[in-house]
Order: sequence, then C-alpha cells, then structure tokens
Amino acid sequence: VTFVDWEDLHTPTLPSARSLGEMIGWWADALARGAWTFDVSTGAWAEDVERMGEGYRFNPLM
Amino acid sequence: MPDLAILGEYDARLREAGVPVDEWALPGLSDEQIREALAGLGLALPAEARVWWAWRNGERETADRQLWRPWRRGLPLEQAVAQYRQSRAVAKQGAEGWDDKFGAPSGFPSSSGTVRLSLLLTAPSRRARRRQ
Repeated sequence: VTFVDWEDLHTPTLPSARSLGEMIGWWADALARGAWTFDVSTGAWAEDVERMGEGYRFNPLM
Repeated sequence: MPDLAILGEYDARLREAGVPVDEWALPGLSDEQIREALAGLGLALPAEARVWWAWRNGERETADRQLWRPWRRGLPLEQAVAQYRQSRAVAKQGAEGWDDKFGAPSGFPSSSGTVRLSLLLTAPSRRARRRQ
C-alpha cells in the first residue's frame, strides 16, 4: 500500500504498508489506544499522535 | 490482505466509538458492480482492493466528514475510477515518450507524477495539518 502526496509528486513514493490488512490493523490500534477519538456531538475526529504505536506513528499512511 | 473478519472488527470498533457507520457508509459492491465500474479501464483490481470495495463502497460525500478515520475519506469505487481517468488524462498530456504502458495496473511514472487508483483521499494534507 502506497501513500501519494499530490502536493509533492517529485518525491518518489514507496510502499508504506505490506497490505491493506496491516494498515487497518494500525487503524484499529490507534482507536484502541485513544490516539483517534470521535466526538459524537460534532461528528469530528481528533488525533493525538503521542498515543500512537511506535511502529507506525510516523508512517505517512497514518 | 484484509479479510472480512479484520474489516468487521474495525467496523465494530468504529461503532463503539460512536461513529454512525450505517448512516455514513455506502453499501458494498457485488462482483458484477465492481466489474462494471472497471469496464474499459484495463485494470485488474488487486484482491484486497476487491475485498475493500465489496465490504463498503467508501462513504457518502460531505464537506467536512470522515467515516473510517481522521483526515481521510474513503472513496466510492466509481469516484476512484473517475479520479484515475482524470489523472491519466493529465499525465498523458504531460508525458514525454508516451507509450502503451499507460494502462498498467500499478500505475506508471510520468513527468506529471504517478497514476494510481486511490482507495482513500486525504483532506487536508498532512503537511497542511502540520501548518495549522
């Protein structure tokens, strides 16, 4: 799975996850750790990068 | 590769968090609908992308709302195909030494960037977020 930054097409894109399953596993972990929280009253997400797992915290797919 | 168990588990977590999945998600596509969406494109959809769109066909489009996670919106397959066609047209205009590799499934490098079929769309970009 590759991340593409449409504002920076000169930087080569590299695979950022081995599979969609791996990426979705990171998403689930981010939810479980409270790194991603959903505000039911506003319908908006919030992100706390510090709570993310070390293995994917700086991954561009996250 | 994602399977329905992984996706179902993530779906359950979203619901626990209060995300209105049923209201915001578009129903998954049948094999026939996926074939129709890709007709004439010359792309063979990877198995995991097929599982993804068969599970849910992205999310209903609204201005400032993301269903699956912060910052990114899940594209319906037809919208991903439209975006792919547009990117391919732009790349074709700018490409030097154009050849028939244009329809390669994994996309191809060109002077205008890379053409790919996207599952998710980021808005705003991570860079823009860091500036905020």
